[in-house]
Amino acid sequence: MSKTRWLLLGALAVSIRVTLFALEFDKTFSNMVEFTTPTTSFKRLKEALHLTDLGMSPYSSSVFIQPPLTLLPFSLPKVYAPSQTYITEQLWPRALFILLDLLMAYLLCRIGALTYKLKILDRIPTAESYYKNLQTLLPAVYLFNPVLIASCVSMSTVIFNNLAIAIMIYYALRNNVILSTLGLSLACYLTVYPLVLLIPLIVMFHQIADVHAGKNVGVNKSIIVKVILWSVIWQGLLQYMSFTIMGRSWEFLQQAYVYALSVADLTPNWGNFWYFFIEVFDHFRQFFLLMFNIHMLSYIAPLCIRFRRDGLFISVIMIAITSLFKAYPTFGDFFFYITLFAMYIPLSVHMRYGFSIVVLMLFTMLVGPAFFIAWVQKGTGNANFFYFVTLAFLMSQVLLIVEFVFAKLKHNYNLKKGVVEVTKEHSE
Amino acid sequence: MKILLFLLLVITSLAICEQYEFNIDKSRIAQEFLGKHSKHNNNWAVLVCTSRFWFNYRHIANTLSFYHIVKKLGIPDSNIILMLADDVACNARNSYPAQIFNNQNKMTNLYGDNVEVDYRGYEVTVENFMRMMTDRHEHEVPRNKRLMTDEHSNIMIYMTGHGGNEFLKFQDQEEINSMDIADLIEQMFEKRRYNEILLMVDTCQAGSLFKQIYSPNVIAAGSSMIGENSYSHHSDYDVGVAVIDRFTYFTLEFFETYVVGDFKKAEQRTLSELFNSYNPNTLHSTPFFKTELSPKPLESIPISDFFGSDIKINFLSGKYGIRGNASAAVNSEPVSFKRVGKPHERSKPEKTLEYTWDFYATFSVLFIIVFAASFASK
Amino acid sequence: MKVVIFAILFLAVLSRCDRFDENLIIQPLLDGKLASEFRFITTAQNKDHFVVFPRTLAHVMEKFNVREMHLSLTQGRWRYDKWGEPLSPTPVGAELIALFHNSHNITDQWKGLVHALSGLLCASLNFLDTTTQSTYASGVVSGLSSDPNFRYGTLSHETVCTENLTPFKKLLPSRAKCGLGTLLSSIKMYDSQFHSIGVHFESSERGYELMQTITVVSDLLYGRTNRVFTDFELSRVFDQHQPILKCPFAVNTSVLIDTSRLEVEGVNPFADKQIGFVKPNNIAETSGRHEHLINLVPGTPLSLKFQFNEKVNIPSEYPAQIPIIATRHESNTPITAELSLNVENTLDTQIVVHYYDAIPWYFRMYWHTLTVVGGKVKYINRRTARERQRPAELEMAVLLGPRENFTVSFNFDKVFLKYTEHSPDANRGFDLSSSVLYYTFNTSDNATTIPLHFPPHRDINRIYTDSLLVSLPTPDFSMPYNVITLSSTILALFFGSMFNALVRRFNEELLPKQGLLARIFQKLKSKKS
Repeated sequence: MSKTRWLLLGALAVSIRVTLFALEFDKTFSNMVEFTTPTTSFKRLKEALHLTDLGMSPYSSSVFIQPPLTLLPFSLPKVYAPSQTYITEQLWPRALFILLDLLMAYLLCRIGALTYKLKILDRIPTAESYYKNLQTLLPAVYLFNPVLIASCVSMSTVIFNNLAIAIMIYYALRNNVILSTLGLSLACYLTVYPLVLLIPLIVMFHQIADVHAGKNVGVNKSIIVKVILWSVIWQGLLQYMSFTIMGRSWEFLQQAYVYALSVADLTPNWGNFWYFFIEVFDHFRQFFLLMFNIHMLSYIAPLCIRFRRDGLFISVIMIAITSLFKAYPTFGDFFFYITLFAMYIPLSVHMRYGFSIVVLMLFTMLVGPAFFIAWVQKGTGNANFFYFVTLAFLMSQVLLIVEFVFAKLKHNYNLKKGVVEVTKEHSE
Repeated sequence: MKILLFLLLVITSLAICEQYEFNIDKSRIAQEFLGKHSKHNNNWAVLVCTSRFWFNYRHIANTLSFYHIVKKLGIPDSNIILMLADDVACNARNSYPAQIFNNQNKMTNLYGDNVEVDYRGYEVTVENFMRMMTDRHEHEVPRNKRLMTDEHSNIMIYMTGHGGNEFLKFQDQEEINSMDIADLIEQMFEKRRYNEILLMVDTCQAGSLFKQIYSPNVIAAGSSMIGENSYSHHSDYDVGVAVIDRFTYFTLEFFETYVVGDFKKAEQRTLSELFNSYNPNTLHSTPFFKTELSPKPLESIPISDFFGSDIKINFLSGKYGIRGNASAAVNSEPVSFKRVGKPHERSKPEKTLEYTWDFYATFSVLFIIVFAASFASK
Repeated sequence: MKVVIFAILFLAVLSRCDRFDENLIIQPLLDGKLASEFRFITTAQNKDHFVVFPRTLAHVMEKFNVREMHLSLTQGRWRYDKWGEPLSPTPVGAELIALFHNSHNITDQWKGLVHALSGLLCASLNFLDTTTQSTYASGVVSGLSSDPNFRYGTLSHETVCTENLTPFKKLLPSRAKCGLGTLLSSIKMYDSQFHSIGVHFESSERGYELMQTITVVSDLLYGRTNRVFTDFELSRVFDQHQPILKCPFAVNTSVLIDTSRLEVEGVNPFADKQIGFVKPNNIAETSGRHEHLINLVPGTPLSLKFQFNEKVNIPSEYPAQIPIIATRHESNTPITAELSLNVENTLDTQIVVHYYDAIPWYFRMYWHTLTVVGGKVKYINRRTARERQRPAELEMAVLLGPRENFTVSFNFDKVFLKYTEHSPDANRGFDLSSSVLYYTFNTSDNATTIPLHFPPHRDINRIYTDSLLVSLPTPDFSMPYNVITLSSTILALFFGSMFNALVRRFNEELLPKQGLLARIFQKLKSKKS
């Protein structure tokens, strides 16, 4: 992508975000449950920073349920410039979030370019120009999506999760085991769910190896061993760093991981589980926790068997599944995988319910916040209104993911049979 | 010498055995005393109001009406477990603070000056009710919350609130159903925690709560059959809510007409008279009675078996004489006891002397033997 | 019969084993109301042998190793600005303060103590033992003060009614059947503006001392339109018309009418004249202009009437009667709320205010939003909350100049609770119990924790703020099965659809040969388009 185009894109994105920060929209957005959840809230991070300033452990109250290294980017400037509180507390975090958005856009751009170069997206010939422009389209879709802009302005730390996954995909496409496992380990470090991406990552490496070798290479044991080894090394390193930061104690494990996995904090969010775990009877709690997590794991094997040559697609679908069924999802999660789905838009020829999905999504996204305020602030509504809107939204996502899987399967079949597909633009 | 010592040993052991027999004698006396007065010798009352909120004033008034009945007939507070789910007497909405009436003539203040509520407010839960009935408490639970009955106790259980087909609602949050009640009573039977139970329930479809009870010696009376509602009797326009339910109102009427707070009269009236006094036309519902598990026919069960207090007291001033001028108080009529049951009997002093004679006799025999043995050894 | 029992007790008391005193302090207040405090003091010098000391209470105290215990059950609001210093400061609801002999196993001792006291006084104090319980236990504290054997708990929502007065009366040696106890009637007491029952116990080398207090603020002008200070008669204030005779075994029974609250700086409706006198005045000893002390004499029934010398109007406005005025309020936004406390110094001297607050864990306190505006902060102690285990505690001291005020504010989030953790009347909300404020004029005090002394020392005075009610958003309580079903449906739908898609095999299907009619229709259709 040309430099001028990049500058234009970047400048526009930065200016939108800076304007929103200046207009104090971050206060509004950071209070909305659509963007901030207990595991991604910046307010809780500030609270943890404040507690460390006072000399207490950030985990001494039950407020902070993220791993310790997330504090590092925000507390380091204080070490170097302790007196400049405006810069360290106001300016630097906002600048950091904007920079991370730009970094994400860059990674998406490179991912788009690489997928085109490597030809790993099974392409529909008539949509060739679409695939060529993927390197502009992906970052643009990311940077100018209003929901993602709001997610950035709300300073929710979901950007770290998304970045880690983007790093993983990018370096996997570059066939770099060490750095892509770094991305995976970072993602696993932040929340436990990306662990399901280990096997898809291995499949992706096989796919890249196939592309480089030009033929079907088969199971390569060295790749598997390398990926697992480096994941373990990186994860160990990260945990060791946390261990030392926390004064050589493992107390953070309980609150950073177990607490969030066991859905102990029942703040409403757009996931499936907050209301479920408010209302479930105590003696069923353990059982359902187990079931929901195992459920997520159960999709790895079938997807890998069915799409054994397409690790990228498996990764994208697994990212979508984990975002959908994780304990505290945000719109940042949802729209990240929707951005990744942009690589497969031409497949939508085969989708049956595309229109319904889009309409349902838009409707629920607009109505949801209204019902939430009706319940919590006005006291006129019921928790059920918000819950049902959330359910409808999740339904739309369920449909979306299944539709994409179905479309890909049909596309693969057509490729096998040699049928030439046309995109809708050319059909008439 | 050795033979003498051996004889000494034998006699000592015999004496000890005889001593042991004294203990048995003592307990035999006690058993005779207790057994003589049949298997029933104390009464307990469990009064439960399960509704909260001001508009359920009448349920609290119902429960307190029964509290009044049993207290007037002699059951002391230590034998009553009163559970009230809400405080309406000192409620901000009550225009008569610290007073609860069950009639619009406001003649009786049910709350009085002497009321002890054992479980109040949020403590009235299904769990606490079950724990109390089956005596499965935590270590720290105080005495006034425990139902300390034994196999000689008759228990009168009264429950009121909102109910339905085979369930009773506790505090708008949870329910107890008929299987739970049946199992509770069965547990009590197996733990020998009651002699007889009278269970009276004043809720909608009260009769359905008894369907599953299968333990012996249980008599149950409900204010309505399955599918019927129980209604309130009347409202008081100053208090602003209904003040009593029909079933309880007519129970009170029976007691005020025929018993009038007199235990003797309670002994003369039978349960069948009480149950026959309910008229479905005035109750606006059909009362339901479960009598198949009753130990005797209802015509032979006096009301005093459940509603009064049957404490038989035996004074033993001979052995445990209190020194000083206070002993005069013990021998005269006690003031605060109600005259209930048969007049108390004085124990015969001979019984105690009998015991002491045996004791001294054994030891004097032993002493003689030892003395003789020492003489013989010289 | 009664005579005999009283005679025994009298003889026993003469032998100096136990001692029983009764005092009634009546203070007319500036806004026309009447504050009365009954104090029944029972002491036992011999810890093994009690004559009048209530054995049930002594047994409980011994069993749980209690050195000092203060329990109060209060309803109503003490108007500090209008009425001044309370006779005994208490927060609304139940408050239990306990100091144990040793710190071995204090949690179990506290638990046993609250259960035993709940049985003894028919109050639901047992909710104070479970800090994991979401709704009730607020402010169970240890160790922020310097004594590790110290425990404190409050229940703002505890109701007080006749069932608390009945066992209270039964703890009295007189059983409220003689002496000042006969004035205690539940109807008059619970019809008052403010009433408080207190049980204070102390064990020392001198023996046991038990003080039972009842504080009542009665409104004599109920419904009257002309607002003047009216004469009052004891039997009418408490609506008890039987003769009040001194208990034969009570050593000292006295009534003190104290009019000092009517002659205060800033307002004195009586100017400097003699305020009033006691009728019949032949048994009253007037000590000073304010105090009229009446000692009861055995055999003579008490009939007490206080008459104001002239008809003086009740002032409608007057300066605050207490050195600091504290107001607390809470403002709500969707999930976050802000709590702020404002303390105003009404005097012209410096004053040091110590402030202690316990925020229950179901209000997630954000320490980084804690701001203090005004005054000079001497120290701030913090203890963070842990969900379902302990509340957050804040302790600070601020030096206030003359007529200054300071405001403490912080934000907290409302925690969403599980279905079972809500109380049966969930829409009422949850209580934020009163905060405790101490003020002292000793500005050089360098203490870094709250000095907790009971009863208050002369130069340390205690006031309580109002308790607040915060409503937490409630889930729908009728929905557990529905929610489980619907959420599981999403999961099942996804699983089913994915399963369907993934195991599907695509096949080509030859279209069946169309019949004649169908072919004609097809041709027509294609012609039309």
